[in-house]
Amino acid sequence: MVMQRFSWPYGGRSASLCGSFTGWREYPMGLVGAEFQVVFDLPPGVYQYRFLVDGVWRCDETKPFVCDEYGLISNEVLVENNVQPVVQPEPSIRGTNLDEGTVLTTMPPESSSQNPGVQIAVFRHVVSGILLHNTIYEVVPLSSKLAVLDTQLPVKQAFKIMHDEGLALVPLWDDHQGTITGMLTALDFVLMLRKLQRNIRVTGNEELEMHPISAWKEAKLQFYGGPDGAAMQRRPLIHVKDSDSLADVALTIIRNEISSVPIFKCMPDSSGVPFLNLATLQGILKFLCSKLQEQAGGCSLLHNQLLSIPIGTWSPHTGRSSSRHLRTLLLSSPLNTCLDFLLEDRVSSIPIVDDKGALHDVYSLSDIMALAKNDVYARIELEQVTVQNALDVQYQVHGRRQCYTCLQTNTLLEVLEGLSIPGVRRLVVIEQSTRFVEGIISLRDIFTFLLG
Amino acid sequence: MGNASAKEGENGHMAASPEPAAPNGGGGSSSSAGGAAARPPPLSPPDDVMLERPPPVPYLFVPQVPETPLHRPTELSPLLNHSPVNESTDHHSQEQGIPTLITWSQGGDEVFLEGSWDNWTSRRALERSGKDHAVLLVLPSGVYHYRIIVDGELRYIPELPHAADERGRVANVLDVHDYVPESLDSVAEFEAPPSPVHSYDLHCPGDEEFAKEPPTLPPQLLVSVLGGDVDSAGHGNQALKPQHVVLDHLFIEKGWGSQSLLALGVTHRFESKYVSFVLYKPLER
Repeated sequence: MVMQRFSWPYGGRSASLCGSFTGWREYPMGLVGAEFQVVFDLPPGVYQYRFLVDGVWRCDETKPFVCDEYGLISNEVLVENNVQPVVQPEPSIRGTNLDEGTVLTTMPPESSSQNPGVQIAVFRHVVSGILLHNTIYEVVPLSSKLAVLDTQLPVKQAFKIMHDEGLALVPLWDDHQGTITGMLTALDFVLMLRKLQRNIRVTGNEELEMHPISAWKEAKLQFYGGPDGAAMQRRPLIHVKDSDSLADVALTIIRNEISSVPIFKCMPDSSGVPFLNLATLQGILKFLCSKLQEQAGGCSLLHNQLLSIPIGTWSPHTGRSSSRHLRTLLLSSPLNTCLDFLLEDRVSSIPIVDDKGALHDVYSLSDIMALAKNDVYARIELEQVTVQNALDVQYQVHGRRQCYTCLQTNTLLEVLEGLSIPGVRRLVVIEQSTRFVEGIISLRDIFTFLLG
Repeated sequence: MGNASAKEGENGHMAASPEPAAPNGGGGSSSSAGGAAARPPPLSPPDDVMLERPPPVPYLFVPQVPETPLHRPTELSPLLNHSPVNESTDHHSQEQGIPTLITWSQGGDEVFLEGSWDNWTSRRALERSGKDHAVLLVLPSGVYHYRIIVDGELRYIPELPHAADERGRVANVLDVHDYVPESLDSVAEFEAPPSPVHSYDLHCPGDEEFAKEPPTLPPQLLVSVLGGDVDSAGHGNQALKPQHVVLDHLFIEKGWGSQSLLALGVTHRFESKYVSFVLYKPLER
């Protein structure tokens, strides 16, 4: 069987398709963007078809057509059985079995008997359509408020502000250049702590008091940049334009392994500030979910369980393959070990389990900012502080928090909705009765899967 | 294509020509896979789509060409005697008139004006102003036609919009509407002249001037962008849409949060989005 797409791009309020493969029965076409489309699963052969558009029988002049002995004109298509057919699936939801094949129309799902590979291809096609045809400007909130730090601000004050405002990252403003030149993140705080702990050319906590952010950024390149530190220093700020598509923005975030990217204005305006906002995967996902709901019923893959979808990072005991190794840490583990793993694995969080292996919480890079409260970081040694201690500090500052989890039996739709909740960057997949950690699904995993 | 010889049938649908054209000379029907019928059964569209039922199958293509849009009901016909003004006189008195200047610059001794605003019933004399003749009309908004009578001869201004009626008489077309020019250069002549230099003095304000209370701050400005929560990246917090009065004002708070730093707040509008920045700077020691 071969997936064959039929489209009517010439307008109209409603369109149906009938052909020799449907027994000349009419089947409604779904409106995708500006054109009506329908996909059939057909055996190889030659077929005739025509369109009923707003009650008028039409044929597509740009496609092959035939005229039979009665003078009737129909379009004609040759369906070939390619070894590797180039499937261009469409936003399609329902599988309706016909004598000759399966028609996919934009209607709610009735069965999930469709080939998962086809479902994934269809869903990715829908998603890529949304992400390519919408710009990041549309995702920017109508009104928003952002903190920006001057690069001459002392590092200690900078981290204090980040803690007080609950920020894991903040753009940096350079007065001389008159623009945003970088980002200060929780990762900077981690690296700064380790630098303090190792006493590398440090006289103590006073360095944080005196050194501006700009000096820290230069020092970071020397200490952590490796041999190509100078090259890193010259690298321009990663940013996107307000006219960039959501697909481009998501790829920029994923490929550069960053959590957010500054949006710059295409055209300068009277404000003199080229910076518009920060783009995040979560903002894009929230927008994507709203657009998928506008689709007639969404896509059948949304109703599939995680069990059947190759997405996320999984524990070896689940038997599922994943590109990354899933680590967990005990509550009694040293905080330093936790930070080592976060940096080595280039991940933003690690599930923390108790002695029985049940999920207790997730420790993420942004949680380290709690140590900026009352200069706690200056009075501790990372080797002697456990993850439990660090979480206790976090709870004292922000209160006990909810750890967002899901099950392998949850649907993709439920996962997407969960990750759209403000502040949720990942879902831990657990076994329901024991709360054993089976996997973790992050925003990055979602977009890596969606963008193929 | 096969449409070349098509003609319209009685029911408004395309009728087949005696010799239907087939591309590539292929007149025969290919047999379809799966043993489908060689000829499709007639299919009729839903009744609610078309009142006149079309033929069950197409004989020829309806070409995919853009159709000419229908005229909007509000569009005016080019007839010269068309008057868009409501005939009731009450309407005139209620609607605010818009001053409109009509100028004739092609000479003549006696120049008059007539137009569709009063259904061509009266003539108004244009007053000489240097080489030109001009008259100021106050008209309700609408589209009017008018002619100039120069020394008894019907004339029109060819440089301005004009139209001819069915008898070939040409008249100018006047579109009267409330208009605020985007470029302020075009209304420069309406600006007040600058104050003469001698109206200023060099008197320095004395103590009594400084003793006065400063003007009160508009209450809207008390709601500073420095208050409230900052968006943490990715949390999607949406601040309230700011009032226009706070846009592009600089708010300053010294010693923010008991620290020796300065918080500067400013709200900009970019297209339809509003963004408030709070910039934290070190206090100069």
